[in-house]
Amino acid sequence: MSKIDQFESLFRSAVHAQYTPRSYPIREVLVLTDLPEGEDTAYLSQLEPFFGGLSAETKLTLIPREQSEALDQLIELIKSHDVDLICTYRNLHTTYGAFPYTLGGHVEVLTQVCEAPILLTARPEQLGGARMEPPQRVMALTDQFEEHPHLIDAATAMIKEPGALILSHVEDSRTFERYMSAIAKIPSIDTDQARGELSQQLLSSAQGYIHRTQEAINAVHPTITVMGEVKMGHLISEHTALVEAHRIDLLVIDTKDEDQLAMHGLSHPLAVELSTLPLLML
Amino acid sequence: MFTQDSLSLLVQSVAPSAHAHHAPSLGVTLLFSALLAGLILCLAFEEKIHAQKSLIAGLFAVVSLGLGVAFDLLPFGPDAASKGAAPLTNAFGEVLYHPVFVQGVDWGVIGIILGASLFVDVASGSGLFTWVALKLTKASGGDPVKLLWSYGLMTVVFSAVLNNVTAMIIIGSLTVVSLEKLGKRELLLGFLLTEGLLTNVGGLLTLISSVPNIIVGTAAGISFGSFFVTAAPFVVVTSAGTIWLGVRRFGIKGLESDSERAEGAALVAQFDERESITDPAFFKFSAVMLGLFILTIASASALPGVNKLGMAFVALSFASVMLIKFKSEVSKFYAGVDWDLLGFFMALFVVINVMEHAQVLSLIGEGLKHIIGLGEQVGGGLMLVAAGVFSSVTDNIPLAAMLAKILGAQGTSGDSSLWWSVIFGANLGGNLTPIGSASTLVAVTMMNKQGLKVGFGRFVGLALPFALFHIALAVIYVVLFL
Repeated sequence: MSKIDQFESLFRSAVHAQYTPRSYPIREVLVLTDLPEGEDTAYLSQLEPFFGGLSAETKLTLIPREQSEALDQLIELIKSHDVDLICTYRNLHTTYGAFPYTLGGHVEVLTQVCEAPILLTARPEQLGGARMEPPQRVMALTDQFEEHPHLIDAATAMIKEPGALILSHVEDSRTFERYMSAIAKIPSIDTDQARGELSQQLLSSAQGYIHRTQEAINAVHPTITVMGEVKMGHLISEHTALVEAHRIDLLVIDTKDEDQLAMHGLSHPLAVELSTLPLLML
Repeated sequence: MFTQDSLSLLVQSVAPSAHAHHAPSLGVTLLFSALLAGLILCLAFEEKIHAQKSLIAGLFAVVSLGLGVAFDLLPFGPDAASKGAAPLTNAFGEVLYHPVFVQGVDWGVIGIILGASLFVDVASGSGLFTWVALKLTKASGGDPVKLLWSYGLMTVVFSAVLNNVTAMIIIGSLTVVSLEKLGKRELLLGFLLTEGLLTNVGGLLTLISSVPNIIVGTAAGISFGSFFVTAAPFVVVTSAGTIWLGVRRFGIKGLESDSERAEGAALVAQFDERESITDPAFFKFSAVMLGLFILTIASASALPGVNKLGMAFVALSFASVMLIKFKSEVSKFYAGVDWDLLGFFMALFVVINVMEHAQVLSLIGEGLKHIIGLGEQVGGGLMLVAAGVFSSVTDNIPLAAMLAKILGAQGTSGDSSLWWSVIFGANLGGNLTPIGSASTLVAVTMMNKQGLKVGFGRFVGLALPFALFHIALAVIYVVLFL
């Protein structure tokens, strides 16, 4: 390895990205349902307490079923409102029992077309008339917190204090093993050394960022306990296990990127798998 | 024009009698001159012929020695036991025989280079220099103008304390990373070029900052302190001028609004200088040892005992002490030594020694007399410019070694400004072309690695105003102040 590369690596590893807490205002919330009149307002009533952690200025606007049915019209309607959040549930305008392994056409299109984040709750029949309590234990997950600090902003904003924020970073072990098997075929690279140093680098940089985020959040929100979960493993099963272990009330995930990889990579299967857990999809 | 007879007479007249074991004919001297020219040409086209310096010089040393023996130019012992060896009388009056190619090497210079590079390599491993670099990056607040001043001055100091190439690698790497972090990649060319040029300015600061300094300074008998006092004013003024010129030439602008300054400061605050320190105790030890090293080298000529053993002893001793920390893995550091450079020096000294016996240096020296004869001012200035131009196209080390030998043979006094003409010319000439010095070559390599596409012509175009400024300033300084 050349000395130029050696020193570049050294200086790059000395860059410790710092999380700076920013406000994440949610004032206008558009609530979409496919429920008949009366049932939709009941759903709205169940939903309102969920936003108890937000400011009193937060306003929920219910969109009647007939205005959300046609997707084109719905998109135009959303664009005409300057909304901070869209709230709905899985399989909107879709028969849930027929397609349990999708989020439904409406939701999937909205996650990619709309700029506003989408909060997915459990379906009304799954809620069974119970009020949705404000989330106190919120988990944000990504494999690149440094690139997506807005996930932390949003997760923090949703917490009803005192509460807990869990920052989860899982490195995909299958991808890692695929690269390792390629490295194992390159004689000039020591495979054991590469395995040790690469996994250590991947995990320690995430741990370091989360540690600095803990300090930054606690300086502003002393009643929020920030915890980090950094590990290597199978993405879906590890995250599912973490959601259960931490008794999570709300999961915050990223769904918008230029190539829509987030939605099709991790977010979509998690949204389907954790069908009753409220999901904030940014 | 010289005629063959006049040249023969010239060679005979300038040949130092002590070295003339067998006075060569003009034809032999010219043959060896061609050999020396061949070596210089091969070094100039080192990249084109894909051969490293040590091998090039080594092959020329082999041929030179072979021809030296064939023409009976070299001093050998009188008996069978001393065949292939030259007599050497030690302090007890005993006559020792060492191979001629061993005696031709200036082991003092080799010792300084070996000891200093080992010392610097071990000290660098403590994170000392990267710690300083990151501290200064943060102190700049992310302002590009302040950053160029910080990096520029750091380049000068690191080039003086370490060596040009290591300084360029450290500061150049940090420049790439920090400008990326600040979102100012468009300034990369200006930064790397200014830093590359400053390595050769910083290389003038002390006696051990560059190889030409060591060779010429040692030959002239200039002490470390005296070298520093003489060179420092020039280095300070030239460094400041170069950075100022860099700021203007490359349109580097400071941060203007408070929000820009706050953002810049936040971005550079993400650098954690502690990251480079793996062992805090060794870090402190290295800092203390570096201070002591500079202090000891600076006072070597006044310290009893040390003044007899010389600077090579100091450098090797400090390297040995530093290596104690890594006593079970010292070979790791030996592997990091630039053996190509050391091999090159040794072979070069052998070639020059043979050239001395073949009266080639005397011949060149006689030619130089015409320049020197113009007086210390005009002659010195002319020699500086000539040395600069020569150094820009080929290695400055043979030039320095050759001119040092010639000036020494002509009995030039230690306080003559001619020595400084060689030192300034040999160092600053490297700024004219990308192949003029190893550190500018590293700078160009880094530019191209970053996709800036800087070839020979573009580099010359960009660097010429700076190089002319440096050489003009050096001529004024040498002519008026030395």
